[in-house]
Amino acid sequence: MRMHSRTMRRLAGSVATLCLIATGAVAQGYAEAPMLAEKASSGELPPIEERLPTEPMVLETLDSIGEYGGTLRRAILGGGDQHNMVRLISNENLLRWSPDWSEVLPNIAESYEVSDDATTFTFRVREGMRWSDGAPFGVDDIMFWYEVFLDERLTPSKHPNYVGASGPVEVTKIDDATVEFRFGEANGLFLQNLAYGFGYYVVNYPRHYLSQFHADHNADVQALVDAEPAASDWVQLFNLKAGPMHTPLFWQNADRPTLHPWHIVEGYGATQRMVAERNPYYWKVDSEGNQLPYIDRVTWDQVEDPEAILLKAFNGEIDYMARHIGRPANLAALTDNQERGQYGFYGVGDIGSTQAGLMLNLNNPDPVKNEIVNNFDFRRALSHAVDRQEIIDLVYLGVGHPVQTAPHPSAPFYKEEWATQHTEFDPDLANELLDGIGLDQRDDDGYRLGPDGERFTLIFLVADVFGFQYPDVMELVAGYAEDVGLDVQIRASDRSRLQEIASAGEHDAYIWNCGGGLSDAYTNPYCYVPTGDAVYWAPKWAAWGVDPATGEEPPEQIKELFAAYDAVTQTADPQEQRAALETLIDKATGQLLTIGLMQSDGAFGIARNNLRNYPDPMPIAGQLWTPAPYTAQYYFEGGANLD
Amino acid sequence: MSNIDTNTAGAVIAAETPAEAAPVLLGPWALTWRKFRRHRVAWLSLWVIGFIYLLALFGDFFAPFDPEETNRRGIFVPPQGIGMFVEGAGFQLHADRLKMQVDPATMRRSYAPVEGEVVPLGFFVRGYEYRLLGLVPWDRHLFGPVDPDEMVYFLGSDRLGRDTLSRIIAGTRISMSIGLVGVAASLVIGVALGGLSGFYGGWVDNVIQRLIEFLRSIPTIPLWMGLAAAIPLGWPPLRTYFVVTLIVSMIGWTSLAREVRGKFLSLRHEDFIIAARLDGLTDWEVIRQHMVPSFASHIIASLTLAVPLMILAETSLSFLGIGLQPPIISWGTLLKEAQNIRSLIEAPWLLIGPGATIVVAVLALNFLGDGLRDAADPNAH
Amino acid sequence: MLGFVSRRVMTMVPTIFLVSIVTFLIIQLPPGDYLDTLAAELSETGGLDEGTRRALEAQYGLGQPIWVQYWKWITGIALAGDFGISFEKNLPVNDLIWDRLGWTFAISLLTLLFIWMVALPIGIYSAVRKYSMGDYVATFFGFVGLAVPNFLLALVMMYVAFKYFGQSVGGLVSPEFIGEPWGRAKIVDLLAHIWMPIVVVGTSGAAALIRIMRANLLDELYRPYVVTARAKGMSEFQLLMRYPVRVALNPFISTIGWILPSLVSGEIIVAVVMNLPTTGPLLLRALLVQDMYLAGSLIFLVSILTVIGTLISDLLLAWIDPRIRYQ
Repeated sequence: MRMHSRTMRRLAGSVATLCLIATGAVAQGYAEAPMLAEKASSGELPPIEERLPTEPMVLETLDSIGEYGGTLRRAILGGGDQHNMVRLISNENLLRWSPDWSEVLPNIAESYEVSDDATTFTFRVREGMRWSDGAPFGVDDIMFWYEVFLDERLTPSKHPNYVGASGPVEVTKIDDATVEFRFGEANGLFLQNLAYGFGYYVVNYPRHYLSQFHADHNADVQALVDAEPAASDWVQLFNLKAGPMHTPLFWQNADRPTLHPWHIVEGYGATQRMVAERNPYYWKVDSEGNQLPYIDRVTWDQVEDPEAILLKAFNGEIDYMARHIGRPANLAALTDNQERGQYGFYGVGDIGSTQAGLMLNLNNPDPVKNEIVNNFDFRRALSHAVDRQEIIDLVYLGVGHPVQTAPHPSAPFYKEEWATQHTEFDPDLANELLDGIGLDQRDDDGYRLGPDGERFTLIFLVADVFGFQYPDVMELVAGYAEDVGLDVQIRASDRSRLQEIASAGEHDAYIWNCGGGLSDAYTNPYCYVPTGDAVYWAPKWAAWGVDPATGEEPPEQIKELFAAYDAVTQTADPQEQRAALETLIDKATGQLLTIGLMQSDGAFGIARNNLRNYPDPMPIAGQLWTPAPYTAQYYFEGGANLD
Repeated sequence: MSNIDTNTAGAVIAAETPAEAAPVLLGPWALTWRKFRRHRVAWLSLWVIGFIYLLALFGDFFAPFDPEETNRRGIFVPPQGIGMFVEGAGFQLHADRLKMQVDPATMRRSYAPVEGEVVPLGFFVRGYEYRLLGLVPWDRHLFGPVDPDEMVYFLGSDRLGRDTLSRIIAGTRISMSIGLVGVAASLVIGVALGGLSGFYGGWVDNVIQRLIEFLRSIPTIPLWMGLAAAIPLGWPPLRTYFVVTLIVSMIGWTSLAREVRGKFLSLRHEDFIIAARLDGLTDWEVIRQHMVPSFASHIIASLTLAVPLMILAETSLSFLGIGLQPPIISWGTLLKEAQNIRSLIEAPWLLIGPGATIVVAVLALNFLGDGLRDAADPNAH
Repeated sequence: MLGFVSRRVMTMVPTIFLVSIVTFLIIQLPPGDYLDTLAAELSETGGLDEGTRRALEAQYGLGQPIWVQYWKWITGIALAGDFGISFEKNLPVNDLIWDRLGWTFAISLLTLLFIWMVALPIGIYSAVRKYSMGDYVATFFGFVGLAVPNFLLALVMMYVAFKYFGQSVGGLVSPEFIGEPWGRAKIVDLLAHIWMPIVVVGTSGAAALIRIMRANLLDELYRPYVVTARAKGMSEFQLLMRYPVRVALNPFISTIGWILPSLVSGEIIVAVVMNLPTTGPLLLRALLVQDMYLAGSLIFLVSILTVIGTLISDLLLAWIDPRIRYQ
């Protein structure tokens, strides 16, 4: 029997209504920011349940559930300060570190598995996740990264995170949401490395956007090349558009889709104020189903002189900032203006293995100097000649403790003898040691003569950046050295000139900080063993470590350090890793490869009185790019900035 | 307009009263000197500048403390006053003995006088050792604490506890001598090129004028930065310092050259020069015996006015971080170390001290130069 | 007159050419190039590997000999108005500089006016009342402006404005106006901020002009025609303004040429401290990181402005003073 058309329509209507109610019931689970809700109801954006993945990640809030609204205001320098943004909003990798830096947790990856021999890592990503322009995110994007990674034209040299002893990692797509990483040998630190900053590569290449700049995917790419003044072939164009996230290039392309909580509106360097707006497709919610982030917008006002940032803070124009201003020297001035600026303080755990370390170039091309600085007793003498407590009192206002280059007391693998050996201020012992190694002759001014009869001089390179106050430290060190007859000269300059000289290994000595004070000792042990690019104390041994055909072959005790570190990386068992690390640090600190001076706990940041959910203290390190990804759950109490 | 050039001929000064017989003959320099002394401020400035150069030469004697000595118990001490009478002991120059207190919340240091204790001060006291004029080892200082182990901060201390007064005095040597070296270089180049330009005229003049114009149109800061950045890092500070002064004088010579040229141009047509030429003197002799003396005093005035510009240029360069850097002590590096909000708020004396010194030196030099120029100008009344 | 003008313009061309060569050389003087700066900045977090470095070198054309790079640059400017690319910001230099040049020019002009307004009366007064107390006081204030280093004065003024007037510092407008269209409130805010750099830079420039004014006026004041006018019964003030001051004004015009570069230079430092959107901070940063084309173009343009300024002042002078035309 044929139903009456009107009845049919009514039936269809009821069914439709029922469906709507059903989906509405499901939609009750999520809430979104008012500014997005408006756009969703007007049709500009899809509704919330379509923007979130099927199972969005739940980010636990640090204090309390937040309120939507407000603008997080900061300041940024005119150039070279992209880490100001990287650390705040963009550290979103497959995995993340817990807020207290103690364990690795899932992030973009919903779950992961590690094979028993630590060679194979399988990750499952979230279904339904989208890029900031609404296009779907999936394993295809990771495979696109892999394609670019392997392509010699686009990636001539590969990041060591993704390269094992037997070659680059093998990445295979298992299905649309599962991907496998396989190394030729055990890679015990891979998960940690993915959680650290440089894990970003894997999830930073939106295929749908970048393939238009790739000649193999777009036959008409030349037209785009012609339209871009800064590129003359497709490789350059691709590198411009797909720049690495830790370089300014990434931040100059506002069109590139990301997975970050906020998305930049204009390029870095073009305007007085950088703005990042809420990403409507951000894939995290809080435990009550509110889509993150809470804060609508992040802005950075451009300044030239970091002192201007202090004035802005006093005037209440800064909402959350530790960078450039958070050191003990500024504490008094910031406290004076606390009421006017309406902010409070929080601690920053900026703890390396040493805040300032004297790094004598053990690969010094000058044979006379080379022989002397490689003499263990010489380094021991210099270490005893320095009055560390006075440096702490004067330069760091008494906040800190004297140490060698060694782990921090709060690290689980800390041993006191590593930190305190050879740190006593004992100029007599220093003099004795120096006399003992053949530097006992002095000239008329009281300076010791080297074995060649000339005054023995060490030229220290010093960079005055980011308020580290190294010039002050070096002035004091030069004074102590003079007291025991050593001629220490200081050459201060901007960082790039010094960098050039130091990486060529032509310098006598450099003063800089050392990482590896806490958990980053596993991945960043460059002051315990010469690995990595920033090894100022033995650049030629570091080159040898990467490729034995280059650089200089190190002596046995250094090769032992390389072997010790291999033992750390080649096991996935945390107990074994820790034991191997302790062996490494033991051997390294015993050799006094660098002369550590102190660890200072005085770093801090300021946060506006109504800002909530920020970690206090906030751990930070060279590879740990905090406060992201936890910035997404910061909020302003009251839903708006204070007046 | 022709005028009697009273500088090249001796002037006859009429006697004070008609009754006196012989007139007094004064040479051109004596006339200039007399005129100069009438300018009271310039006269005062001469003394001030003399004193400053004295400080530069014998700085260590005047400085009570080693400018590089640090003191962790004396960070950011405000300037201390000198008292004259001690209760119960009569006349005794002294300063308060201070005790440092630290506010644990802000790490701020504050200082309170210790009751009942003073630091006696005196003249010709023993202090840190130095070499007078770089030759004679000595350890006496003009004024300071009687006990050489005490520290008194007459102009306050900086963030490492170093004495500001001693550092300013130490900086005098470099800051004032930069001016001299730079000016000497400018003098040589400026007079040579300006003289050539003015004396010969024609295409020589044209080329040199274009050169001057071209050099002046390039903004100085980038020029200095480019030149200074080319200085190799390994050089000892002294060599760097000399090169910096040469760089600074690169621009300075142009104004001198223009003045010299102007003078040469106007003098060329003077009667007495034509007369000298007709007398058969060679070009060189004309220049040396007649032209140079007539504008020598102008040149001296210009040079005096160029020195403060050099001093200020040095402060700008130090601010930008090129050329002189700490630990070299100059007024420029002292200001650079104090150019931050923290110092402005917590230790304004670090800015006022060197700042005021620069102002005094520059003002004094300017007034001195003005006075010299007024005195040297035959047309002035 | 036309002959004079065309002659002057002709001599300007080689000057401009020379300026371009020298500015290019200046920025090449420091050893290394932009990639060294990039390597230094990245060294904390991974460094600049050899492969990327070579690729960037090819992209920026840095490996080529200097004269090739110069030729590329100068022909780009002459033929296409293309000033090259900024390495650091990856934008055409053209996109970055014109705004800032505009502000630099505006502030320099306003400062020039300020200097005239200050130097003229002080110069006249101290010439007329020579050696009096007033003379000393007036010149003292004029010279204190010169003696206090610009950056120091800038920092102090900023702090005073912040502390006692509650002003927001760091920029030409307060933060709430950034990006907003120009309205009455914004202009008032601009005026409240812009007087500071003008005063700081202007006070140091005024001293020289005061001295010149005074010297020239003194030259004229005792000439016979002045005495005649006074004898004929002219009031002192009228007498002063009508004759000697006019003659003494010559150098005000002839010095425009060299005042401009000193204003721009002085403005660089003040702009860094006060965070102004002018060429100063951009140029400084470009010089420090060796962003070759940006730095070169800025220096070149500023020098051109000066050369043109000198030309204009020469022309004005020739127009006012007939003697010069016939030199």
